[in-house]
Amino acid sequence: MTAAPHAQGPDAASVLVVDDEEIVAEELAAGLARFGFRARHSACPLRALEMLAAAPEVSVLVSDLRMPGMDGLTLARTAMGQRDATSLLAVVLITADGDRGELLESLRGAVSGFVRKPFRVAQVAEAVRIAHEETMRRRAALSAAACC
Amino acid sequence: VRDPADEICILRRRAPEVLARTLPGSWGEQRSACGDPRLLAAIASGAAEGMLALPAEGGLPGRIVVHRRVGQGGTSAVYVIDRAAMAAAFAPFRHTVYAVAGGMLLLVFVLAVTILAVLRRRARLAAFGLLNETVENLPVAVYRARLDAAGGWALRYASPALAMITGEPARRGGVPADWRALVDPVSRGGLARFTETLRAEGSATVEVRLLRPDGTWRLVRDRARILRRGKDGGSEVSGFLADVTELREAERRASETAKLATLGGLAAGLAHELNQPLTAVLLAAENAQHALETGDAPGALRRLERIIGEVERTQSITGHLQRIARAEGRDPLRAVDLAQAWRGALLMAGAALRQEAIQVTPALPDGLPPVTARPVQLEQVIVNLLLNARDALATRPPGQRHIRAEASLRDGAVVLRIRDSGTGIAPDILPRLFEPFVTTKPAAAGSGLGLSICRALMEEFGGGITARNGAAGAEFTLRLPVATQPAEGSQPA
Repeated sequence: MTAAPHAQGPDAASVLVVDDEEIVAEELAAGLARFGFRARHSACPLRALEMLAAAPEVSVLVSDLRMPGMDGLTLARTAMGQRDATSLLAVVLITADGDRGELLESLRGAVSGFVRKPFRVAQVAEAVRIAHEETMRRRAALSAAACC
Repeated sequence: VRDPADEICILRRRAPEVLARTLPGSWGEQRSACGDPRLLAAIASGAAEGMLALPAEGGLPGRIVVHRRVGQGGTSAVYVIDRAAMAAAFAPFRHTVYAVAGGMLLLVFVLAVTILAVLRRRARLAAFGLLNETVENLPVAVYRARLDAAGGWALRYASPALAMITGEPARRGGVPADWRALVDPVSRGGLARFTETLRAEGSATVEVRLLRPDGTWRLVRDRARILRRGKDGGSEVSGFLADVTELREAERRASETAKLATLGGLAAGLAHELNQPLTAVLLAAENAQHALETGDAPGALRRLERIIGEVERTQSITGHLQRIARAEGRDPLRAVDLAQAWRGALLMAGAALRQEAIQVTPALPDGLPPVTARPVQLEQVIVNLLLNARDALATRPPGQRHIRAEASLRDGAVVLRIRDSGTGIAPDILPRLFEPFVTTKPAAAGSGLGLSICRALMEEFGGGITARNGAAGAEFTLRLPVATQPAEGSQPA
């Protein structure tokens, strides 16, 4: 399901939303599209890994933390491990766990951001924007270092 | 006056012969010692000076002779003491000696007996003092009473703690007032049953509420035993009264704490469970709003339908929470569908289990008869077991965390077995697993009341709970009696 058409430039950030709740994944992807992101979604972490491998242009992974089969952190680590310097990936975690502040704090280094459920689309869009810009900077820095 | 027994004679030692002698004694010539041939023979054979004893022999009486050599010419002087005469002379005096000796012996005996008696009395007094001090300082009131044939009580003794318990001033030197007068009218029935049981079975226990003179209530426990039964139908009773107000209060709090701990364990899971649909609702509402703004009516409609569906999903959770809040511990037992209780428990604990990536495999066959229980409490028992299993599985790698549940009908009871793939129950804990305050978890994690409450609830249902270590992990078995009437008034989970 796609959201209402929105101005999506050719350099718009590409995002993958993963949540085992199909409705949440779909509605969040639709919401992010309204904010100018090229958003796709999946309710299955394994399927998400395939999609990430096939689409190196995806710069930000938005994933639920708790999912049956594979949790968001494992998904993020696996996905980041698949990428090279030219296709670095940033991760934004979304979670319904209210009292896991210290856990999320410990993830700060590994992930670019996290948002607690329930949230407004704008909160996630802002986290995605920051993560995307950061990734772009790091990609540029790494490619500069590689060519010199 | 000469003693008739005495004789003195002078004897010649060589060719013994009596040279001179006193007059024969009162016994006459035949019994005279001086002519005794044994004496003459002894003197002739050169007897030493001193005492000579001549035993009675050959019709001659026994004699004692004091022999002394006198003069130069080999003469001896002999003083003869007749034994029989001496004995006769001592006879009156001997009785006096015996009397004195006997008297002294008697005196010593009486003295010894008196000292012993005093010592024993002192020991008894010391023991009594110890007993008295112990009884009078006990935190419980010890009493002795008489229960007459008509069921009337007469208090004969009560230790001072009674005054502290009843709050009535202690009466000095008299028997204190009977506390039964202070018993709350509501507790009177219990007191009457207590008296009946005591008379029928010889011992009884009751807990009653006392209204103290200062207006405060105390919960007291009376435990009594019949010492003797009289021919008139009355009995001698001893017993003790203990103030159990604080104890019962602590028990109530512990039970509340256990309930809170269970709720606390569920709260995080339920928050997660509620946050999921709320997130979907919020996202769909935002997107519906945007769809309406852009004239996408079908998109908006589709999202509104989703919102309705998600809100209905939260209702099953809030509705269930309301049922739990409404449930009373003393609701009557009724017929309950086990499968429904299982679903309710999973609704409560499911999120907590999913968070730990625990797979739950229920095998509850259709057509199980309803069981006798209270639905919310049965769910509480299952939730407790599920959360215990979750804690036991924390050390297992995520792929190996399983809970398997299976139900079957056996001997008129429904049996629910819940097995986990954890490390099992420590063998030293296993026999005491259902006792209060037994726990395998760190102090902060569990009060150790969960399983003891589970057992109490299962016993209230007329069933039971057992535990053992299975092939892999712990295995709990719930046994629930089949209800006689069908499950009715059951609400959808």
